[in-house]
Amino acid sequence: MRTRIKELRARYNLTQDDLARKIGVRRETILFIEKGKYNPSLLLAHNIAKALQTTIDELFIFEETENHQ
Amino acid sequence: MKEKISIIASAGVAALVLIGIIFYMYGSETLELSDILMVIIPIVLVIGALVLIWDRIKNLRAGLPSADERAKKLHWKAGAYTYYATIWIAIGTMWYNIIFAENLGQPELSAGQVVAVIVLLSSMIWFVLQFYFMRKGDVE
Repeated sequence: MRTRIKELRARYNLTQDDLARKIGVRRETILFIEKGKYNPSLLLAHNIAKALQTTIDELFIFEETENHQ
Repeated sequence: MKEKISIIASAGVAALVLIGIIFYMYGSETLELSDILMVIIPIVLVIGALVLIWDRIKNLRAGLPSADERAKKLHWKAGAYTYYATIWIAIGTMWYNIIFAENLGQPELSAGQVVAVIVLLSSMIWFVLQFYFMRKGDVE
């Protein structure tokens, strides 16, 4: 899974710290979500999308793997 | 408020363990390797606890939560794996007494020593897992 969090953060001039403070999580959580190393809960994904004024579908990019197909 | 109370409680437990170690060391007439290990391991655990407490305080001061969904998930995962490890440690102490103490003439572990070994080793495993999972990102 990839995310566009970093791109949208830059658009709104938000640091990881700013975004974390806005949605009420630790900075490391934002870092690991951006790196694709942590899968957020639906609620957290929704809160991030809302904070970045976008939708979950626009924010998270799921890549089909060969196993799924 | 709840987070501050848990931080203060954790720091209090760490302080009590340290005070216990000091009394234990002053109460011993001689210090053997096993006594030294029984002191070093709790000190390492206390240092680990203080690192975790400091991390929480740092986040609270920055206006961030001390534990969010990811931290809580990794905390409970570490606890679950530690539970399984604790069972194996308990079985290991039993094997030690059967194989080494009864058959090879090694000193038998007393009940207190068995409890101490289980508590200290499982605590170490819990701390190591916490630090490892926090650096890894997620556990699935």
